[in-house]
Formats: sequence, structure tokens, C-alpha cells
Amino acid sequence: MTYDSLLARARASVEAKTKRGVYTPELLASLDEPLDFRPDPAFAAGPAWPEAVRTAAVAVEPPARSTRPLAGPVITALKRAVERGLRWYLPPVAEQVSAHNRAVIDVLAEHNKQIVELRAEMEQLRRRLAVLEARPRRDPRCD
Amino acid sequence: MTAIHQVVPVLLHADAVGDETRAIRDGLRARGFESDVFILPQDRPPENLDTTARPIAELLDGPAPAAVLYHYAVASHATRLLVDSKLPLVLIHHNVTPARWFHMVDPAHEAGMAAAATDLPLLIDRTALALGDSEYTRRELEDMGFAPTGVLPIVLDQRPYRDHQPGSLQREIAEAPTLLTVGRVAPNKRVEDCIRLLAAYRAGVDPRARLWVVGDADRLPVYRDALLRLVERLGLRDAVHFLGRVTQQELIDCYRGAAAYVSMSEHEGFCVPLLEAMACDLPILAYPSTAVPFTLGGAGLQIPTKDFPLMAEALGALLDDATALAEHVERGRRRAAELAPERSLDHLIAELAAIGVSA
Repeated sequence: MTYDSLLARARASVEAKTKRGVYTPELLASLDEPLDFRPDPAFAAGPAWPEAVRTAAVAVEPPARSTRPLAGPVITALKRAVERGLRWYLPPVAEQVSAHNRAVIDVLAEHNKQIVELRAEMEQLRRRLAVLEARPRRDPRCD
Repeated sequence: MTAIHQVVPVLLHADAVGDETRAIRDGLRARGFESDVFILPQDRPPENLDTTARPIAELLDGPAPAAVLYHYAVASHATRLLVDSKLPLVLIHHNVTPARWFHMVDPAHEAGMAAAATDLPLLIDRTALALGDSEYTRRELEDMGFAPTGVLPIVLDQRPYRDHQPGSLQREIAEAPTLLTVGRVAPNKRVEDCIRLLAAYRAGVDPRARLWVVGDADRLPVYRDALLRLVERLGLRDAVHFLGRVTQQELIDCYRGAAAYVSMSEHEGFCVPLLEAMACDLPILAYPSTAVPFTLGGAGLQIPTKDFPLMAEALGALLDDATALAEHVERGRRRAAELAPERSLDHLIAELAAIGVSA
């Protein structure tokens, strides 16, 4: 047995079965369809994306307690006084900044999604083109 | 006693590079060398870590051995440590999958593979000898500027594959004609083409046929999910089975019970499953890309075009012809014998002797 003779038998068999409608044009077309990749949209944003999402919400934290010897309690009391004095102002500003950040993140997420969809579509077209280019050219006189 | 040590970033059980590293260590010890395996520190040791390996710091700070065999397959800090050391290096290159295969699939993998390809040339001026695990890989090394170069086929202990006690999975896989493919489920392996081949095979040859895919499918979910959508689209939900990682007993059950092994891969540095399949007398249909023809030698039915009906018919004709099949299996058996671990180890010893390293 040689593999060449096996392949010759296989070719004859494919031809006969194609004529009998076993290997239908629909089946052959479905075998040529490229894979449908659907990557995570975050791919488009790069490695900084999780950090951007994590830090989008700005919170006004109570001031940290000072650990300095002697002056520590005074500093802590001063910080708290300033924080109390600005409470009417800082939290609403922080909320405004957070709302803006959330909106920016939403816009970027939408862009990421569209970029990834476009890239996936381009990749699919590239693969489909590669399949078409790999096919033996048909002589137009045979059509 | 002459010492020949090995370095791998991490030494794992149930891992092709890990298995080879252990086989080389044991083979060198049996031939009268002192031999140990050294690895990088592990922050989060994996479950299948082989704890017989020693920390690389002990190698860097200890007496210099006659040679250090460095297994290269991924980018790691070990490369820089070895390049900056004075240790006499021998490269064992397992090949790096080109980064482009992971484009749109996994950016981390894509970056990792690109880094591995970028780091490899750092070793050119530091290696006394560069061995590829196939002629394909050796040529790549030569083209990069490594010299001298040689081939060290994967050292695989074939005894478990030959002296196998059938388990329940062997009976299960033999219940219907099953095409088998083995390896991590990654884009370069072209598992989608195995699925397309199955669709053609069921349409033209045997409607009962199935495809079993053995290997980790969870590391690249974008690729896995695309494969699952293809399975759905081709109406093969009940015919394609992803088994994930399996034990060695289960793996050999699959090789022993399947109807044929199929490889549609388009990038291989060696392709261990081909050797495993030949050791298990399993017929092989392969697309002869990269290292595949070198590993198969004259064995395996190799079809250089992805014409799936043609592949399906050729495989069907082979499985249907008892004489042709027996000859095909015998070719595989002979090729597996050529790739026996003892021969590879003898070859390694000869290659090392040629650069002045001997017992």
C-alpha cells in the first residue's frame, strides 16, 4: 500500500460522493466559515483598564489618625475640624467627579466593545480571504 | 563525578517538558553523571509541582557543573539569571508558538510568546550547544545564529503506553468510531479543523463518528467558546467531547480505544501526542506542518492540504483496509522505536561529548 494510491482512491470517492450530493455545497461552505471569536471588550483597553474601573468612584474618607508623639492628637483634631468644616462642600464635589468618571468609563467601555467587534470582524474577513486565496483558481472558461 | 544539571522555570508532573526533564535527569544519573533539576522560586506553587527540584539559587551559588541544560519554551527570569552567570550552558529548545496565534484570543499569551521569542537570542553567545527537539526547531536555531546545533527528540518513556491495562475510558471511547486529538486547546493546534474534519467524516464516511478532544480547554476561553459555537453551527453537539485534562491512565485509554489520531496543528516544535499515538499503535492522520513531518518520519497518513472531504475519505479508506492499516500501524511502531528514550539519551551524551563534556 502506498499513501499515494490511498489518496487517489480518496479523490475518486470525494468526486463520486459530491456528484451524489453527499458533500453538498452547503456543507462545503460551512466548513470554510472562519471561527467566530468574541474577545472580552476589556482587551481593547489594555492592562490599565481594571485600575481605571477600580478608581473611578472618588470617596471622601475621614482623615487618618496622626501617630506623631505629643503633637499627634492635636494634628488629628485639626484634620477632623477641617474635614467637618468642608463636609458641606467635599462630598458633593466627590460625587460629581465620581459621576463624571462613571460616565467616562461607560463611554470607554462602549468604545472598547466597538473596537473589539471591529477587530473581530476584520480578523474574520482576513481568515475568509485566506481561505479564498488558498482555493485553486477556477478557469473562467469553465463557467 | 561529572555534573550535568538542568534548569526549567518550573518542574511539573503531567507536563511534557517536566516529564522529559525527569527522564533526562534519571538517564544521566544511570549513566554515571551527577544530575539535578533547578527551578525558579515559586510564589504560588502549582498543585502538580515536582518537589524534587532544587532552587536555582543553589546552582548559581554552588560549584559550576560541567554543563547546564536549559529547557526553553516560555519567557522567564531564568534566562537572564543564566545569561548573567558564568555557567556553561546547553540550550534545549522546545520551540515557542508564534505570538500571532494568540491575537484576538488572549493578550497575555500573545505578549508572553512575543517575550519568549525576544529573549531567546540573548542565549546565542552564551550557549556551547543548542539542541532543538526536532529538525524543524534545530533549523530555526541555526537561522537565529546558534552554533553548533543538534536535534534531541523528546525523551518520552514509552513503557506505560505499551504495557497498559485498559480502564473504563478505553471501553467508552471504543463504543463508537472516535477521532482523537490531544494537546492544550490553543489556536495553533487548529482544533476547529479537527471539528470540520469530523463534520466531513460523518457526512461522507461514518455518521456515528465522534471527536474527543483531550487537553486543557479553560486557559483560553475566547478560543474555547469560538470552538463551541462552531460545534453548534455544524450540528455536532453530541459528537464532540472536550475532556479537559486527564490522568495518564485515562490518556492512554483514549489512545488505545480511539479509531484514529488526528492532528490539524499548524505549529508544533515536536508534537508529543504523535509519538504517544504511535507507541499505542493508533493510526494517524496529520496535516504536515512545522515539526510534524520530522516527528512522524515516514509514518502517519500526512495530507498537506486541508481539504476535509479528501482527508475524511483517505482516513476512511485507510481504516477500512486491513492490510493497509496493519502496514500503517507497523510504520508507526517502527518510528516510535526510533524515538525510544534510550536512543535520545545516548544521542545527548554523544552531543555533549562532542563539546568536551563526558563522564
